[in-house]
Amino acid sequence: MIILITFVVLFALLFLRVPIAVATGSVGVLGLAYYQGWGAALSQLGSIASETVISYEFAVIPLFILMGNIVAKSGLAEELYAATYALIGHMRGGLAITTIGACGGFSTFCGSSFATAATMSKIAYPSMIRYGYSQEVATGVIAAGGTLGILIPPSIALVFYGIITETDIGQLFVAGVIPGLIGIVMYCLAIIVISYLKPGSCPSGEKATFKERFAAIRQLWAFSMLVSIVLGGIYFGFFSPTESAAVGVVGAIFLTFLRGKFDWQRMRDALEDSAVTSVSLIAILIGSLIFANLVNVSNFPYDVVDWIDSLGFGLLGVLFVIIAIYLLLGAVLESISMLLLTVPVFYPIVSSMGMDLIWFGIVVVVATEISLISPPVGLNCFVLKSVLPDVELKTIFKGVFPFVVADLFRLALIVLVPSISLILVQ
Amino acid sequence: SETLTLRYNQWFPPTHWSQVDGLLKFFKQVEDATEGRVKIRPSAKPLAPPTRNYQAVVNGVADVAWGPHGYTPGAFPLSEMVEFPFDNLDAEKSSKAYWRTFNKYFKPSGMHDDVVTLAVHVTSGGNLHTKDSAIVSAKDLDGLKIRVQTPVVSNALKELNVIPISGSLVELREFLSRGVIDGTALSDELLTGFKVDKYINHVTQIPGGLYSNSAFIIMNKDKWEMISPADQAAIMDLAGEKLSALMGKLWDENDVKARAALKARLGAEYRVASPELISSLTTVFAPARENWLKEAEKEGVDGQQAMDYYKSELEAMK
Amino acid sequence: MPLSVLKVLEVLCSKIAIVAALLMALVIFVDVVGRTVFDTPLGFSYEVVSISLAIMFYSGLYHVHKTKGHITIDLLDKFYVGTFGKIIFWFVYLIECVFYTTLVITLFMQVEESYKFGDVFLFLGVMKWKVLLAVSVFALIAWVSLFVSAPKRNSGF
Ligand code: NA
Ligand code: NA
Repeated sequence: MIILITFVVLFALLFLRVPIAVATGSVGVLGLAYYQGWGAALSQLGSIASETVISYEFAVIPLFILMGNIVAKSGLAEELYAATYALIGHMRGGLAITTIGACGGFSTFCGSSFATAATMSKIAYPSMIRYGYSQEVATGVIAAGGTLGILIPPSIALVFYGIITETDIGQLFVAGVIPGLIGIVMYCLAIIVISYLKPGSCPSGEKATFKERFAAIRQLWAFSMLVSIVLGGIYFGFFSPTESAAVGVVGAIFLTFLRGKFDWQRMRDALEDSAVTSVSLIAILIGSLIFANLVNVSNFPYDVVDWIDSLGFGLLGVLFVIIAIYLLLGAVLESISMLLLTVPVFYPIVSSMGMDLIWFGIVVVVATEISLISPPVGLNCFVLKSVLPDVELKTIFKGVFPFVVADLFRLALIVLVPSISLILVQ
Repeated sequence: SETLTLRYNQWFPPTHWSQVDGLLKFFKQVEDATEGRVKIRPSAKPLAPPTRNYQAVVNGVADVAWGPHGYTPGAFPLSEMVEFPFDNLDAEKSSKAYWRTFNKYFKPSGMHDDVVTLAVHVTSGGNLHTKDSAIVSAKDLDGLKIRVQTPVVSNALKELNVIPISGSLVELREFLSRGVIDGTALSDELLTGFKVDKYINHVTQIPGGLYSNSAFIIMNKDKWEMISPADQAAIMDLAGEKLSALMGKLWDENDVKARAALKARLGAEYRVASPELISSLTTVFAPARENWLKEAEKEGVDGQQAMDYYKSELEAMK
Repeated sequence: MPLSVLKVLEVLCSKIAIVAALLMALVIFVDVVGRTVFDTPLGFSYEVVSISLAIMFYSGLYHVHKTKGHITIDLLDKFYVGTFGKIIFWFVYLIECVFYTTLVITLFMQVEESYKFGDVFLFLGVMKWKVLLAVSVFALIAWVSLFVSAPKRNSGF
């Protein structure tokens, strides 16, 4: 009961525009004080506020943002887009489709949707705006594309799921491939639909001449070099994905030198921007972790299990309820804390009903993805908001709507046709 | 009378044998012995990270916790005594001896003063696992990149020209599969438990362990005071040496299983360390043992006496 | 507090955040190169990076507090106008101040706890409470920024 009140208070505070970090954090602390006393509540605030930031794992956030910023400020990103534009800009929604493809590509070496959205908004947003896309479509495409990172291997979410449920992580990665590709295809379909419904917001350009195209491809060398260093280094075993972020930063700086575009002021701007963006994102992470502890302490997860049991549904009914809970929780929780909180509680239920745990893993991760972009609150949309402060949040949510619809279709497919997730692992 | 529900900080996978057959079983025993007056319920997700198990119980964030002492280096210098090489041939016996040493020497010096200690135990000893090259003698270690857990092991192996790599267990799979490291110093049970054994083609077993881990099971003091003296006695009857031994035994059983599986796959490539390698390792670990005696003295404990007692208890159990 | 002191704090915090961000990238890069090319990794890179992240976060917080850079949900903004809007603003600001004040206090409590506990950074050998103290001091400086920037924020309404 108390936990439901805290959810109501939290939403009230959020809509009064209390910063998200402060709203989740303060409701979390008050709730924890109710359940465990002030000593324990304050100790958790201090502990989370220090442990979350004295952490190697989360350094990936500023580093990938920084790499994106340097790429964006050095003109590399513009080149990439100019080249792509010359190649497929004349197609309907060509540049938006490129963005989805780039997100998918970036996802293959970045396990975090947080970082994918942050990086791609630095690279893709300015170019899409320059070529006449509306803010709505541009941000929607990036926020949605960012969620691809969570399913396409390597995926931090699947690693956590595998550890909790003792499912083979390698098999989970393989199982995620087809649903991930379906995601890319459906997003592209969504873009084509948008381009027919609102041609003005998603323009097609003029067809470039053969000569222009050739010149464009030649321009791509710098960007390709950076991507191949970062990707190649991971695949040939020189460094871990976490380290690739740092190598990417140094590589990007080096490239700006090579091309004679290094400029101290720009470098400072890129660093300052990255620091500010990361600070507001990590603040949200702290608030969200505190709130997750409250949900944990309240025994809410166990109450939900009892409730689901009392409904007496079959597997599909139970899955439906579980997915609904995910969409609800995604409003306030970051994906990893959501998984940590819910998977241990839910997987014994579905497992006892005979569901394959690899299949459930994919269902859970896709549901988590949707919650990251669905209104009223979705963490990926906040990432965009923080990187692009001039864009209103409601514009982002409007833009993301078609992709949420596409995702719901995909989730239904995955739930109804288990072999989509299982065919590659059997 | 009323039920007291205690919260256990579930940071380790809840389906792991250490939880199912160890702690969760103990919690059930407590519930039965107190006729339901004391219940211990695991949290749905960790309430505190692995590094803060102890402090979480002190502050009342969690009521009960289990965790390795080594996750907060420096905070429990005395516990390092059981982490030195070669003493841990059977984790059950070592855990019993450890519990006795803890009560006789460490507890009186103030270790674990701000909590109620239900058990202390050791986990199975570590061996050397490598990907491409076998370690037969000390010179085979020359230039290898080995993932290590503690500075004690790191400093000792450095003397044998190992390049020690630190990194979380989560990254171990990635490091091994991508060839960032040549091998690890782990227990066989952890190697198979983390499902990284498929990357390992050579094992050099160090009898008694290259190192061991020390772990605690503790309860919040205020919560303990809320339990009636009769129930406290009933719980302590299940805890203490019995619980320490139970945890040690589980480790030993699973380590034996993992060892059998590794031996079946690797055949002769699962080898026991040669006397020459053992003697080199003894030499390079000597400074750390000396250093520990000084640390113990700072804590007000006669380290040599405690170490001798631990070994004589172990000897008596043989 | 005189304006010039604030200015110095702001510039200092922003410089430190920048250096910390750059340090993270460089330390990891040197570690990778050291390991792959010269077979000599930096044992302490994990710890330097995690400490840098903490320093970057709390020193960067100054600027975010000052510029009202925290992420909020602006879906109902059009209703918060006039006197009503002002009341809402001060209400929100009050919650923010209480929350961050509590946060700074609990951080200092962590310093004390860690001092008693005595844990150290494994490879650097630095006592953890010293790092926590530095982090808390930056949090305190950022907290100052939250308080002095209130009147300026209100003029935006
Ligand atoms: Na990914
Ligand atoms: Na959502």
